[in-house]
Amino acid sequence: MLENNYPFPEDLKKIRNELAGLIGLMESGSEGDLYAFATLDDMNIFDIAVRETESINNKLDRGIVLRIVYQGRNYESSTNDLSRENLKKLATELRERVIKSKAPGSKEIPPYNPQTWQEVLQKISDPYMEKVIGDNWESGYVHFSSPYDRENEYNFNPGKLAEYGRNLNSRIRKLCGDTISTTGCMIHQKVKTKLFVDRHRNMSQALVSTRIVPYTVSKKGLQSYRVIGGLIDFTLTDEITEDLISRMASEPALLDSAERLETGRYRIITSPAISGVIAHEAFGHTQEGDTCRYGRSCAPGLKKSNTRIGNDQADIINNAAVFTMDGRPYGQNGSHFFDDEGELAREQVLLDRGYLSSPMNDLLSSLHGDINGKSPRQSNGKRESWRRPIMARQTNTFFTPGDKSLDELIALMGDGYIASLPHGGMEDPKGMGLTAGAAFFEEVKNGKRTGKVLLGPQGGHIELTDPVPRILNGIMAKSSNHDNPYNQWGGCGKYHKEGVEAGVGGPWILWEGINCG
Amino acid sequence: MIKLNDFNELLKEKKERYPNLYGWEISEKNYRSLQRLYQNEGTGKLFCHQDRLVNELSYSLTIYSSAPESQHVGIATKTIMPHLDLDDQISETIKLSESSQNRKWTLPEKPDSPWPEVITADRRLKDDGEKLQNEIEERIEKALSSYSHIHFNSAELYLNYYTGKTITHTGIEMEKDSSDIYFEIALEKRRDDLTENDKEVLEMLTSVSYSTFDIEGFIDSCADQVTSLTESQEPETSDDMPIIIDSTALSHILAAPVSQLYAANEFHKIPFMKEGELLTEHSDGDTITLSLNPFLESMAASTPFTPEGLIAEESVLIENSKVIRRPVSNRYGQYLGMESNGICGNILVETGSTPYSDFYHLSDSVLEIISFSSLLVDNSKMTWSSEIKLGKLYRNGKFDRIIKGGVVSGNIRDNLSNMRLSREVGTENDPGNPITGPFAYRGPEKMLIMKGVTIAGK
Repeated sequence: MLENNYPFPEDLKKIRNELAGLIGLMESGSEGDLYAFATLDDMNIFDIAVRETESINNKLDRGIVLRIVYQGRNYESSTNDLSRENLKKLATELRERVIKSKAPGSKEIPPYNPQTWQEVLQKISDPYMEKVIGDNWESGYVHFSSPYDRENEYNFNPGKLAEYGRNLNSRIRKLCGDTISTTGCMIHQKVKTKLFVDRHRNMSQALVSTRIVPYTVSKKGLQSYRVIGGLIDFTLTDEITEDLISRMASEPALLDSAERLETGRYRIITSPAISGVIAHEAFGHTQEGDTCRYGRSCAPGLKKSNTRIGNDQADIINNAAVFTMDGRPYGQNGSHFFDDEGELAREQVLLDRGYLSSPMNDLLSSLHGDINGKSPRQSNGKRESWRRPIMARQTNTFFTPGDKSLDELIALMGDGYIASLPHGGMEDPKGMGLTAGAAFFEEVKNGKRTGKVLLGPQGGHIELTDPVPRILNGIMAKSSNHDNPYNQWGGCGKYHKEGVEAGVGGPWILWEGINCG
Repeated sequence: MIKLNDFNELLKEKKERYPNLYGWEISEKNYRSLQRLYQNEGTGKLFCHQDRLVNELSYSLTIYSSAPESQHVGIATKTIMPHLDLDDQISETIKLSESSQNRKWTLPEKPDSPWPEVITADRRLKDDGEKLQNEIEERIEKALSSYSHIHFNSAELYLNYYTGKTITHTGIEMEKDSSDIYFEIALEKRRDDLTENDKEVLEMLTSVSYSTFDIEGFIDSCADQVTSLTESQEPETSDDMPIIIDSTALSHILAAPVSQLYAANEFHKIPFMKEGELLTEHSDGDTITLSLNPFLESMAASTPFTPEGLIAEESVLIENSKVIRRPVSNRYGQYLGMESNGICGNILVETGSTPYSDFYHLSDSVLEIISFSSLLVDNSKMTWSSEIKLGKLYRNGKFDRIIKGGVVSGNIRDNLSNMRLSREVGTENDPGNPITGPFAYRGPEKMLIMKGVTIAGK
């Protein structure tokens, strides 16, 4: 990953040098009480839609967040006016606002002492990150990058991207024949550059990601699609195999003739994506540090009483430092090198053989703690954009792998269904309920696929739902993986808004019985 | 900062050098947001742990390109950065547009009449934002303090103000201010050991103006919900349980057939409905009469113009469950050979004649869904589903038990074939986001659905 890096933008180098001065202005003489930092987000996004109409969007978004942490509170000022005069004005006003702020909270929150590079190096284990930091921190600037091939003619070339989309659309349409109403293809490619500066560190990251979504609409109006994405450039198209295209092309006819599932409890095998949604909803959201400290999650109480809520196979990980997955040389859109508060990425165990670990903490959550007291800060401080507040959010959430192949799981299942394509999910962190959606089911009888496809009882998607302990105690077996399991491109909303990127993945999992409707 | 009129002149000069420059739209967005996030530190008071101020000024350019004899139009939209050369960015956007191909259509001309007067924003949210923010905080704390049985966990308050302006190559000038107040709060029952609670109430209140921001009424209704948080059971599995839903769910479910009325759906070959088509084949109970109205004061989807720059228009779209008219944009009207119109705006639905207190007696068992965990509506399939976050089961007209968990799903056409609409009125006002856009509804406060509902439970 050291070669083929996406460079730090030239036109931001000047501001990079100036931000240290702004930090000084905000903390000036109060370093013992105030902690200030600045993050700058710079995004260049191409969205290409090829369907009955075509469109090309190139969105550029650049904004800065100035932050002061004082007495357990975040004070922020955000803008996209990056002129020196404006930033100096905002930094000064922000500091004045903080100094004038009213009475502190009832709890004594000690001032935050930011980490130096030497302290940070002790916490991380990714070899690429260690090398980049080791080689550069003394020079003052550290820059991380996801893989990027400067020679690939498709990268950020809308003409070529649109041409690819048309070709793919055309291939699928041809194979579908007269079983479809229409098809389309959406291509999304972006580079997110983030700069973080505080009194000790000046670092940046460039995250190049690509997502391709081909879709079909059957004669009866039923949509089927694939989300192929990763923290990679247009090399991603290696994932679009003939097998994938022909499976997509067969679906419109299958869906139009699909029967409807009778509601009930069934043995289910979930794909990596749906396994990941279950992990994400079960003890992803419920283990978000702010939800825990507000008293809105059952997790702190369960941890305090050492209650077991899953069997021996119920291990859930959250890890932003996923840069390879299941043999692929790239990570997922939930991966990053550091979060929106400058905390470097590393693996965290959320659930260990059914027992809860400490939550995913943003900075404030690590300062405040919950009913179990304080726990370490993690790389989970994320925001939808510089316009929105920071919250404790997931990165890539997944179950650990097992030791079976998919065929072995199917044989072990006997009778049941395979759920491959995800369709949303939701959790209730307080009540421990969750739902995970599947676009349709494939029937399995006597350990063999029958070829039959089923939709939900009302003709829509199928919801898998149960209380979390019942689900997590019902893991029968899991498939094996190379390294990190595959994480699918995903997104996550919190409290119905605040959309952030989040990978969801894991192995194929065989579940004893899940309520489906 | 960019002056839009100067930018427009630059584009006119460009057109003289680039005959393929078919048309354009330039837009400016000015956004200011005051944001506070709160938690309860044990005092019951709002402890503000995040205090944010956001200011944004941004620009975008949409270019339509077409050679004079060509039958195709290319479209591209690009964010314009004020600190970079404008002429270069125009050239880049023209080049981008040439990579896409669309059937040609004639872009709209400037309307002959002025825009209708519509109140879309509360100016006080811009001029007195911080003062109103503090006032709202005081009102929240006062309202919370009057309920001894509730414990507040967290809350969020946003005061947003937007000014948007767009100029097109034909001289259409669209300018609109929008405002909204967003408040959400999470509450549970107060008890000595809060970890024993397994239910919470999470509700949101949105309003375009300060005067309609009824925080006291909202907290009162939340407190009622908290009162009902007792021991619960999962629902019984059922293929035909009658359910009652409120205006939040009802409005989003009705948005599905509305989405299928747009002419764009017909062109894109995704499910659509035509004039004369029935929402449902068979009807028992009430029927749906639905219109779009863009002129209602302080409703989130009010506007004097459509996104293309046509004069906004109100119209009945569905009458007694039959489609009588459809929104047809300038572009898709030309593609389909239909007359375009400016139909857009807030969803209005005629109420029924039944008070919703009667709903509980219209069947042996009725499940009232107080809140869904996350209602997912599929506009194409016309289906919906969600886990039940909180429900109340009634038997023979009397409250029986609290229901939680399980999945409820419905087929909208079946649902509308046998249902009752309350005579009481409910309102929804959601400013939305840049992707979904604003959403607003005024119509029956509740609906009793007698058919087409499945519950996966015990």
